Amino acid sequence: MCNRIALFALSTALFSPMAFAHPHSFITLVTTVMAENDQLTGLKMQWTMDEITSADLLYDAGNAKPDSPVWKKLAAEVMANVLGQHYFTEFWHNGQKVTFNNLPPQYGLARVGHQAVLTFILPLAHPQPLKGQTYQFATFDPTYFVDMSYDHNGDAKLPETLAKQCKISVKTPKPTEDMQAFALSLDKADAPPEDMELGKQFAQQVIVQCQ
Amino acid sequence: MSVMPSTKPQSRRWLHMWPLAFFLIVCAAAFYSLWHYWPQIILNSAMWQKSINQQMSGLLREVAENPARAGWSLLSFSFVYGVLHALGPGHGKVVITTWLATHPSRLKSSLKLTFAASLLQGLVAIGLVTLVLGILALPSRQLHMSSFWLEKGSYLLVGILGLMLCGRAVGKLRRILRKPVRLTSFTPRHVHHEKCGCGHQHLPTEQQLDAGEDWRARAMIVLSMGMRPCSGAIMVLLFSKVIGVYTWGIASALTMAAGTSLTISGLALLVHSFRKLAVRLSGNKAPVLWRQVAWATLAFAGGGILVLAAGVMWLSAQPVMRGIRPF
Repeated sequence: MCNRIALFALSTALFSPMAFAHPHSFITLVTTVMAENDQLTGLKMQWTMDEITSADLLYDAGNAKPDSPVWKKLAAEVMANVLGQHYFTEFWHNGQKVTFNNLPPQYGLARVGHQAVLTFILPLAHPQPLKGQTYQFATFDPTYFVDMSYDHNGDAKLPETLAKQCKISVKTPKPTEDMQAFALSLDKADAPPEDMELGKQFAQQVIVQCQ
Repeated sequence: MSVMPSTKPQSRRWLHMWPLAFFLIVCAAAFYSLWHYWPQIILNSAMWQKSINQQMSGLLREVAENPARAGWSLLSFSFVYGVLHALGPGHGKVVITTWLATHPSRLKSSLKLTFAASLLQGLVAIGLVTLVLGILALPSRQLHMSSFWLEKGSYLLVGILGLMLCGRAVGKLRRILRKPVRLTSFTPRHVHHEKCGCGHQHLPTEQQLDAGEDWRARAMIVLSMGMRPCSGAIMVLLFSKVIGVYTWGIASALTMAAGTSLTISGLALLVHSFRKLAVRLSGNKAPVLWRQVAWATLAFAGGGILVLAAGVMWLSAQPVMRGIRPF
């Protein structure tokens, strides 16, 4: 009996943490809102990968020059994956998802020190009005294999033209506050699967508020 | 009337159950706090992982500039990294705990197993990176692809090991059931030897232990635990190659393996002593046939757990993207 209990305790202890996920890669985000004619047109993003993750790309790049086909090919490859995941970004307006154009007008990959930096423009499918509106967006990996985060609140920026009219802020979830919400969402059997995703639970939300 | 006397011992019997009650309360409290603090634990571990990643790459960069000064820091950090990283979940731990919990074995040989497996894991990572990037000069995608197939292979080996243990347990059970257990004759054939102290056997003998730990099972354990290279070690090797300190990367990977072996040996020691305790608590009064059947059943269950675990791991293993890069 004792044997069985000890065994059971051990095996559950060993198997249950297999569901435990922690990020293995880290991307630091810097985002600038893009506007044209008082309309929100897209986001200009800069993703800096951590050195260990970057090693993968930097190894393949070797000593290639920044403008060489090697870097262009790598950039296309990474960008294709980012597009495959809908830019790893969700964009909300009045409780509705804002759609993106699946063709970035501009993108590139570069080496900064020992880090790989991906820059691109995320275009909205349709420009959105700014006056009196509130927008919210978040960039995250749903599986939480990659941690994507803003190091500083100032890393989400507005263009100078909007500086007077709008405010931007980064909301970082605090585990103590959101613990109950998280636990409750796990209880809801009818919750949409994406709400249960780990990465979304911990994603920072950027809020743009305009007068 | 006859019911009366039985009530008093009954209530006292319950009093003696307190260790079990205590255990259950502790378990419940542990599960509750785990559930309650889960988001915080995940967030914190993400932050630790991030700073560990930065520390590791920072140290490797320092080593590239000044090996004499940063070398020792790198090695000690790698050791600690190995110790801590092995605390997380892993298929190797499933294999070694299941084996130790369900099979009688000696501590020394168990520790040899864990050490060999950790060493193999480090060597596989080094060998793989050296072969794929150094000798074959293939792109890093091939490195991750081959690492993925080694991972799949090691899960396959876990499954085969499980089937092997199940098969052996079934054979043992059949032998036990076929063997007459009652003393049918009392002839002078019965000689007192070392197994014969009080009419039954207390512990498996050395020979039985050796038979239970034949080289095939042990080789399978070491291979299935060590064939899957640690992804952390591979990334450290890759990074050290990029910044031109590959030899230090190798040293770091080996120290990591040493750290890992320390943690897993600790786990093995824990399981080993738990099993010994369980045997001591339950074993002395049970009849020999019961115990033989129990050990064989336990071994069968262990094999089953491994087959199940192998199936789950095989199905859930996928070529993970590295960073935001697809395979």
